[in-house]
Amino acid sequence: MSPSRLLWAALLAAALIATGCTTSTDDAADTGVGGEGEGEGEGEGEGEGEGEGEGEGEGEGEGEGEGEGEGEGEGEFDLDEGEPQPYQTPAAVMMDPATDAQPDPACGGEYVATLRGWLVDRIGRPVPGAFAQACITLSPSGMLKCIRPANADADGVFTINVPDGDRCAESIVLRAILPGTPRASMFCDFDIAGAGPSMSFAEPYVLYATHPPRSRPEPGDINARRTVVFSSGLEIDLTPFDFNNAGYGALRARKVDPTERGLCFLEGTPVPDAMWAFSPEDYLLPGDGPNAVRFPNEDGLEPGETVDLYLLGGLECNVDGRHIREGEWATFGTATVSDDGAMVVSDPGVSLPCLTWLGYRAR
Amino acid sequence: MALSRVSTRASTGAVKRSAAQLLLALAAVGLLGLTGCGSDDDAAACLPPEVVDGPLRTDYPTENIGRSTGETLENLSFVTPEGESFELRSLYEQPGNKLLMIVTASGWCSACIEEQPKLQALHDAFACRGLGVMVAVFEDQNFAPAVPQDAANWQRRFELTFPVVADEPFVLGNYYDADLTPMVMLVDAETMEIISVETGYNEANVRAVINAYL
Repeated sequence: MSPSRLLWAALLAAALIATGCTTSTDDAADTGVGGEGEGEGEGEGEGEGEGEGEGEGEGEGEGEGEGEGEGEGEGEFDLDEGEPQPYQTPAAVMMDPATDAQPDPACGGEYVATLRGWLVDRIGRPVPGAFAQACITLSPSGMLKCIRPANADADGVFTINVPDGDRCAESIVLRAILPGTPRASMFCDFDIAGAGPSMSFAEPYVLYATHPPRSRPEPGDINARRTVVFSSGLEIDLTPFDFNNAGYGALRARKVDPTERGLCFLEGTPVPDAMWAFSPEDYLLPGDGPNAVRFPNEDGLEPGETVDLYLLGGLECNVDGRHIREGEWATFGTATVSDDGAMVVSDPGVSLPCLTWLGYRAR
Repeated sequence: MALSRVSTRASTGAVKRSAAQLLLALAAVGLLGLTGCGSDDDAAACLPPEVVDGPLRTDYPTENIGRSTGETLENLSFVTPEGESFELRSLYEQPGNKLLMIVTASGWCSACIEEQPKLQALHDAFACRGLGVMVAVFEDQNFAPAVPQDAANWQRRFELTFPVVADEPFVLGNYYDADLTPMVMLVDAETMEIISVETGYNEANVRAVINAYL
């Protein structure tokens, strides 16, 4: 091991110890019930709970072995189980924001002064305190700038004001996140054509809750590759050292039906056969080997059959040197059904480069 | 305050170049070819001896302190990835620094992420000619104030060979419209005079100032 890798390993080991990374080997289904956690997390947490079940901590020295040590609050951590409810669009979403912004006639792109939308969970309930953050590609320069995030109010409504001088847009990407909670980030690259100075989104952004893994080995040798198994049977080979944000100890996932609501990034793309959301979002540094992916062959694919693997572009997803844009649903490799037909296995050399959303589609 | 327009002092930089400085620059370029300058530590190694061994700048300028172009940049403090204090004085005193490029970054800013390889490329190309680059990380990807570990992660992630610091109180937010990120500030390293402050990375503007000052 090189000296620089040894130093980073020591720093990461300290960070993982502080985050209280645990091994969870219980094969029970996620109950959505947290144990008693400790302390406070960042942002709006979904709180600590009482009861039984597995839990894990996120953040500094919290929730080791029991409960959700994230955020503040009381009660169980809600994993958004149950039947989604009809959306009840807050009135504020469609109200014209008070602005005297007049489109710049010299703007060859779209003149956008405000962005207003709302954030909900899978059931359709508002997620107050979540952040909506936009990055704008300016017209005609193509320069990319990012706007400070806006918080969602009690109804989940957010308003982003685009600073004067930077309102002539070629494109805008919006990221939604509730930090300090096991909710997957959402990225949407939306169509701004004809948007006008004030853009309002009638459809909400959905922040899906994720589940703890079924099995996640203790950090141990953080340079050692190991397999994390999620409750849906998804397996990923990972190295804790390669997590850019030390997210190994908090890694969670949720299998999401592609027909669920709020999957804005799938618009205009082939619908995947299955997909998973991850939290926390992280970028996986290039390591010594591939971050292989395996999942149960639940679609009855034939042995040897090939599927395309997809990922959602996040803050930084790079595949073979190509940057996957935020909000882009892009292929990053292929996987093949095993000889016994039980699993679908990523092909040699195929590596998951970031933890945002993952999907596959049979050819 | 919107500071998206550039205010430069390029013409002043051009006036400042003397015959001796031009010879120095030519010598540095020659050395660049020989030494393959690439890292912050190597910058001094590729500078001419008369620059490295010459009189050091020791008294940080204290007159005309301000936040606008033409004013002197205050000796701001940050924290290194190792948790140690880092002051702008370090860049001022570094032998050979003629032009400083101070950039803000945050973990949630994809524009900042895209910018990093370009900053490293500028460092690789111009460190031996006197360009000093520094990135100040002010928030992580979850919008929390940056801690030294964030600076460390940032430096490692992008393999940056110039200083990366944590700006937890976000002191640099006082110098530009902090509703937008990143900020790119160019500073005359010999006087600590602010040359320009922009939001977003404008390669053409940056190179124009570099060409004028180095």
